[in-house]
Amino acid sequence: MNARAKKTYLAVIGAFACLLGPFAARADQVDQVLDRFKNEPTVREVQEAAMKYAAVNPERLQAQFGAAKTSKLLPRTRVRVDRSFDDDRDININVDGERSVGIDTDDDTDISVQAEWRLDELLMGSDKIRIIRENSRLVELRDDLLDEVTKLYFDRRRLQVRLLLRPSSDTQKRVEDELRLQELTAQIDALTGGFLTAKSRESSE
Amino acid sequence: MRSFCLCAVIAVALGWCAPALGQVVDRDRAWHPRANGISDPKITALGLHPTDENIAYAGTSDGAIYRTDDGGETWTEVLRVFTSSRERTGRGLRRSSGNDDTELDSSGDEANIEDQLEEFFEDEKERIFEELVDELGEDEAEVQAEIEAQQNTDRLRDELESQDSATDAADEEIAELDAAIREITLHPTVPGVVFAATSDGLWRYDDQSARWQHIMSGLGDVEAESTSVIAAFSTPPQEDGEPRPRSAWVLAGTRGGLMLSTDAGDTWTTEPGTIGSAEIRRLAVHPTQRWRLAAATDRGVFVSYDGGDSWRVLFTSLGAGGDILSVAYDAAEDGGLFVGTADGLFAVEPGGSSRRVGGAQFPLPVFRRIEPLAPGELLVTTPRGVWLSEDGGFTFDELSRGLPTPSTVLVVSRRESPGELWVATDLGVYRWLEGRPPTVKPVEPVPYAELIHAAHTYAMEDVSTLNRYRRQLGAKRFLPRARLNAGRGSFYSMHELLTPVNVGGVEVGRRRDITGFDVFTDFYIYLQLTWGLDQIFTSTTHHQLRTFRRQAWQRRAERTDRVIRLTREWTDIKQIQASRENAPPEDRNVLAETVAELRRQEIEAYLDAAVGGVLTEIEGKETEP
Repeated sequence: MNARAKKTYLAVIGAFACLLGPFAARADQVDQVLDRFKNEPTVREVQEAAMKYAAVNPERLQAQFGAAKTSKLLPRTRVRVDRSFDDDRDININVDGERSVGIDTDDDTDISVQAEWRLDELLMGSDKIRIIRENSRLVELRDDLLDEVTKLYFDRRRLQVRLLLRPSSDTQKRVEDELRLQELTAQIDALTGGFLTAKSRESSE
Repeated sequence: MRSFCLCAVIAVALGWCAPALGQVVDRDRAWHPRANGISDPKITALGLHPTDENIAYAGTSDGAIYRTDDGGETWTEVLRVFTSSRERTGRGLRRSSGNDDTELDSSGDEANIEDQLEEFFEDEKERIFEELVDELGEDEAEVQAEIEAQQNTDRLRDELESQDSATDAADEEIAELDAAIREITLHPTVPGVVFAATSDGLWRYDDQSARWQHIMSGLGDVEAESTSVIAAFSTPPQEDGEPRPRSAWVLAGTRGGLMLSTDAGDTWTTEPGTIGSAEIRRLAVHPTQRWRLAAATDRGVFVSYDGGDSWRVLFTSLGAGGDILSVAYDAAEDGGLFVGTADGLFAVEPGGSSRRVGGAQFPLPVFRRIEPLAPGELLVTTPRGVWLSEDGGFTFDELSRGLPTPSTVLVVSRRESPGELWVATDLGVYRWLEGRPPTVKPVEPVPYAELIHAAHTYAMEDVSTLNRYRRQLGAKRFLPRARLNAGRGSFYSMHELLTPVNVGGVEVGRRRDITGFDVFTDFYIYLQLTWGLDQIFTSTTHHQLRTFRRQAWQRRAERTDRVIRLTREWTDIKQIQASRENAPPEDRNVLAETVAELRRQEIEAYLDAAVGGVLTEIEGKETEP
């Protein structure tokens, strides 16, 4: 945020705070406050971005099951080609002392194909259980990730509201709040691959 | 017949015991919001007047103390603890809206302020010691000796302060980190005296002088530890028949040890004993024998039988050794202790034996505060609601229905009327009153079953999926391994004969004759089926799936619990919001309502994430903060 933008931001905050005065509220004032952040992505969008970035979105998890099933429909295939050459010689000596030599030359070729279907594992097997457990871990990771990103999102939003409605008169405190806001933004960006900043900038433009 | 008699005896015994156990909490009541005038919704401390049910104090996370004189209908800010370094150095920069003449001048230079403070402290000391003399009839010389001792302490304090400005600077930095009011305690026997513990030390207020005093003297190094967390009042037991000052002992727990003041907070000494520099997390005073104290610390639970003069360790850990967070005496005359740890809640008998209570009922075993109401009846506050036990902690019922958030900080009751409850939450103060809270319209009921089912389906652990796995495993046992073999073999064989060629009886060479050929071509195909009969009853896959299913059912239970809690919290906030819709504008607070709305949206986002967006579909709208 450059100096000019920062001044404008503080001026808007100040003006808003003055307008709200002692916080005597009308019904629509809460909506007015929250509408100030319309240009930022919704929490749902941030959650989706985080899931995609961590590759734990439901489609990907389902795809693993599909891939496992498809792979089990295909047989384990074994192709075998044998070729053998054989050369036998026999020497026969008759009673007259005559010798003869018999030669047998063999050339054998054998081609075989073996296809094996593990029909039992088509339904349930070690591979499938491995995928089920892996998916279960990914679901836990997804839950943790969504909790984390949701918490960060609303921590940030609460801080924004606080800065808007009750900006501190202490410069140091204001700087600390501003740094905390940047920290929360960076944390969300880290979990979503920069989605929050990119989307906010896109909306502003 | 014998069993019938036994049952009858038990029934009669229970009938006799029931009134003794007492049920002071009226279940027909409900939590009513009582936070008009408090600007910060996060309440961190509550204190009730011991005799006047209309007077209460509330402390907030931003360092303000409010007082109500009409039972919580309206609150007035009476103190704001400033914590910035400049303000704190001045020490005069504090204000009390309760009485103008008590507001110290903050416009003068620092020397002027110090003069005012000195004068103020001197006046205060004189007043308190005069009261002591009047009240107890003590020998004037003895009192004079105490005054001199105190003056010595003051001199020592001044020297330490002048030598240790670096420590002060560090202290100021620490103090800035947390402005929350940590504890408000009203003197149980001297009405009108209030102590407030903050990260900036202790504050004292009394109705007579109608002003707040920052009492920090003598805290020394402990002050540098940054915090006074708890104030409690003990009554020293009599010694050799000599009356000792009553109701003037104040204990303050800090992160660096325990402080004891025998002059109502004017001067402080470090409690030597065995506690040392342990972090004090909670102090408890026995309800009737006020010389019996207990302290929950990071080094275990300590007890004192002499009003805090000496301490001994009761135990260093409980259960699986989780952090000890809270302690309270049972309300019974000869009752034991209740100890809240990160591992659960424990009841400790007077003899020292302990047992776990509450079981795994609490979703988050973090006990912020234990409030004994009557013998065997207690309330505990957790980040997941207020829980009531009427059987000594064996079972607990949740008592947070109607609160906008389950994140409760503490619940308090007046000893004289223990059923009169106040609770401090992250979204304001609530009071347990007759009738239902004013609601304009009930919010739409949420289809819990649908949400729970959606959550399990989204996690791929719904019942049909788990059952399908089981069926597949059952069918797998009878399915063979099929092996299809197909092949073609070609065999070629040539037979030759070498015979010798003789000329004149002499072999001159050999003749090679081809005698024949053999050519075979073979085609074959066959199917081989193999059944693993040895794996019909059990196998590695069986074991793996059984383990997975067991874990999945545990996860399902946790998930169900989470969805129910989130849904309840979400609907509660909506209900509270609906009830506030028609409130007059002067009673409304934009910041508090925005925070509540954000909380609702946050819960909605958690819930929606847990159920895969089904909530959004049900609501027919996007979750959009």
